[in-house]
Amino acid sequence: MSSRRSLSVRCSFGALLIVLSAGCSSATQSNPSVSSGGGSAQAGGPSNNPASAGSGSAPDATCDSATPDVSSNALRRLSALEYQLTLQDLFQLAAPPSLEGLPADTEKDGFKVFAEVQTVSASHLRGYLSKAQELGAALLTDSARRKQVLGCEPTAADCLKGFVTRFGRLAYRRALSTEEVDALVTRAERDAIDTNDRFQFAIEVLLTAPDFLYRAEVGATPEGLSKLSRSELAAKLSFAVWGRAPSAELLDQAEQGTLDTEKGLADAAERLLADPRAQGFYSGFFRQWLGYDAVRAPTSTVKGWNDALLPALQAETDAVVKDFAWGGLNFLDALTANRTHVSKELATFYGFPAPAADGTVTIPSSHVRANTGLLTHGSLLGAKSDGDLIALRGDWLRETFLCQHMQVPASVADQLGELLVGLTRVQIVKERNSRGECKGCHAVIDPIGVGLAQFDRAGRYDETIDITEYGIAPALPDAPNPPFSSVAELASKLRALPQVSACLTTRAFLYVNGREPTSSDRCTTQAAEQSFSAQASSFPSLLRGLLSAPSFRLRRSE
Amino acid sequence: MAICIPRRTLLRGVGACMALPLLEIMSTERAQAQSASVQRFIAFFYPNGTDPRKWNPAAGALTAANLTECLKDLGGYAAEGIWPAGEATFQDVTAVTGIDHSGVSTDIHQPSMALSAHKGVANNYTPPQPTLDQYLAERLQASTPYRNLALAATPSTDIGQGNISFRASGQVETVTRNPKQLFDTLFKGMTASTTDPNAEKRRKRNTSVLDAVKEDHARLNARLGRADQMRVAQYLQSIAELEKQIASPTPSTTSCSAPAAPTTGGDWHSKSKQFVDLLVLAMACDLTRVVTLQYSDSWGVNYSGYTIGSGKEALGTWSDHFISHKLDDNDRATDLDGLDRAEAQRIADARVVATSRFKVRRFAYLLNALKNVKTPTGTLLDESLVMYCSENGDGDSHARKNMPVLLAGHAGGFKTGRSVAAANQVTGALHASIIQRFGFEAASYGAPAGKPIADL
Repeated sequence: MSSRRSLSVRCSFGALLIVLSAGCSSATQSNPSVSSGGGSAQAGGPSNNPASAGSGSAPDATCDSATPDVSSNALRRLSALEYQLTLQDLFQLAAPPSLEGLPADTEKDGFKVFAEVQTVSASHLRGYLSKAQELGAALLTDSARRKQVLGCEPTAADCLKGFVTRFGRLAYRRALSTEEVDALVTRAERDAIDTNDRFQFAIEVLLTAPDFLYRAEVGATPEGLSKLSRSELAAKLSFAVWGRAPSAELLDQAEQGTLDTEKGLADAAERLLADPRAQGFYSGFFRQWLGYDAVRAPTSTVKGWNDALLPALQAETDAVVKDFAWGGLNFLDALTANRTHVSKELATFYGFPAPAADGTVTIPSSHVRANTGLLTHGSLLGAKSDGDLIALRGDWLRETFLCQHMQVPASVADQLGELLVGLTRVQIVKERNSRGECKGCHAVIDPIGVGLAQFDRAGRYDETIDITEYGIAPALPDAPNPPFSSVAELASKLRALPQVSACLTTRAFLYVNGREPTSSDRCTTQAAEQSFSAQASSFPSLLRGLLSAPSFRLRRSE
Repeated sequence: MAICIPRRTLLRGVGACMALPLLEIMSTERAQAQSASVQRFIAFFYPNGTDPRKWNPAAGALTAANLTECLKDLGGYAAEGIWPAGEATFQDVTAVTGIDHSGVSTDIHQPSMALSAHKGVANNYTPPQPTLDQYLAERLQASTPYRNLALAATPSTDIGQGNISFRASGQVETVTRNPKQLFDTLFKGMTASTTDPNAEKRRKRNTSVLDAVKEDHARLNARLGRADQMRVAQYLQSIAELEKQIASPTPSTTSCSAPAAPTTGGDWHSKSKQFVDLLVLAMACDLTRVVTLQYSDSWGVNYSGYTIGSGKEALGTWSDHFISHKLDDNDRATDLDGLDRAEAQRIADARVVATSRFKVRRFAYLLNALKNVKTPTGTLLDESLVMYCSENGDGDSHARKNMPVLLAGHAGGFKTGRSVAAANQVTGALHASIIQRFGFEAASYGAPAGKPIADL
């Protein structure tokens, strides 16, 4: 289920769940895409992230500077995914190791990457130690892999020192000082139980140390604005594209100065983007951005449903997103796509013709899902299954594609119980669209939700659902011509909104930086958005824009 | 690094407890270190509130005869699936009625605010001050290995839905969501041989590993700016907590063997039961003194697998959330659609009573489990304060007034077997009362602030 911040709408009370203040309705009616309110959900009503509203805004001359403004970054702990992928590389494993025993990352707004809410607790440390112990022990008993990772026989002279030097550099994403190497080797030789345990000891230290667990970016000076060191830049690039620590080769290139130039960095980025590991890491981005990692089996009976559909639904969206993100296509076309990838069972559930052997199917033009792209994927519709579907889906669409946060003002939330006593479901929807303190925001979400209301909680189309009883005409209020008569029309109108590109940019920024952009990051988001639009909305170009912005080389600490 | 709880810190006779329906077997001697002054706090969270009209008992003594519809099973209950029958517990419970949580939780369905007495500052779902369990953990932990345990049967890691325990500055407390994981942390290794000839060498080695990472912390810290230093300070704090867990300095002349490992997986109910059983063992062994247990997030838990209610009143597979909304909400049990209005209302009300009773039975199971562990001066329940809480008061309207609050146990001489009317008193007042009960000063507490409730 979705765990977006605007939880109000998902909780049913169906209600005046998004009952908003006059201030909210004013902001919404004037121009919902531009707000200086920041991303805070505290004040109530919709707000855009200030850095997300680049659509249509004039280029900022100050962004031409080599050292544009950037916001400060919270020191990031390796995410569970980054930790897992990095361990795979360090131990040269065929597949990422299990994360069992390690606490899961805390989720916020559907994302697991917000640095500010991730911690290193005693439970984490226990898990890190156990994992280092487990993987170290497996390594030392696997002679072939041991030789590759250690680079020498454990009993050979100076093998431990060489191992600590090489393995430590990969773990810490920088060369260890002679003192660091010597201290660890001395300690391991003194305190380990036996010869092999010296390596085990070193592995436990290196993989539990803060230099490994935190992505420290210091640059030349610990306070204020600073340029990243060469190895820090290599690490930032590798984590941004692959979600894992840099390879020895990339560290070599960085330390030789290859990434110092724009071209050098761009070439390195291009190599990473062309590798399947980029697609693997960004599959996590799409699942978190679109919220379909959270889809669960429906809790009530749904015609035609069986639990085998669950992975099939997610696989459909994975495949479609992959096509449009990495297949040389215009990514925005994923919103109006008429071709998808389904299993036979999912095709039956949707009422599609049988798919080709590779799972592709072209949706007949007469089908309700024709030309609706991602919007009618069961994985997306079903991920928001517990709540007032009208408000919920309208809010979800605004939050996901327009980056607008909605919030019930506390003063109104406290009255909900009294306001809604005795009203029926239909009356509630009508009431919230007529009451002064409510209609400002419900006017921008309910018409969208009504247009999607004939898809049930599992994402199955049910033509028996009567949407006329609410007395609300389906519309996308942000579009120049808001009314729509089909989801395909909604998809088309949504795709045409410039705010979609701006929103996608802020979400990609979040995935790369572990925080949402602020107004100080406008140069970065503008550069990425421009790169995206200049290259026919190609997703890799959006990433190129983020990676090539001057700010990528900078960090601010304060 | 093998992290074991030294056998000497644990009690004899706990072995195999997990396989038994209750913890009667634990009528065992206590660690000598535990004195009559030991105090414990447990918070038991179950979502979606209740129907306050049918929950709140009138002020005064609770008796078997005057228990309200929702609290009826405090008078004892029969076996039910994985849950064994239990004796009456009303005499160990004090109901606190009328608490107003709306000033703290300014949005609906925010489990994250359930144990907070302070309204959010950065947002409305992150407690800006330590939650009640954390406030107490800081002060009650003494030399126990685990400062506190945060347990949850929900897989949701969403900050607002899957977390009820927060340290200072909104720091999410790490939650254990898998009973097997909790077992491994607390008890795995207890069966290891104590005749390991390398035991002392291994202890020194493991200490050296942690010393080495502390040295790395010092080196890194010296390179960082102030803001980053504040982030890595948490690391050092966590190392200290881990060292305490490993060293486990609780003196004891007795020992206990590990219980059987719980099974993995399961639904909210089986996980919660395993958590209750393990947390009681952890308390019995004095591994910790503060625990929170979140039974579910707001949306997940349902009653499939149980036969509760009959005919139209049967709960079926509807989620607790849907049932809590009764009629007219999109999230409702739609099988009541089309019925005569009065009849539908009667059934919807009856279902909420049935789920509330279920919730109370699970709370009572915890109380009985604590009561079944004898201590030198009484039982575990005698030295505990156990709090039942939720994120909403009236589950149907989302109102955060009239919160369902039960306080059980006798820590600090707490008097039970009664109902205390606290109409419109804020959560800060409730927490101030609890904090004072534990012997700490809280003339006024929370934001909005409240003073201790008279007679509580």
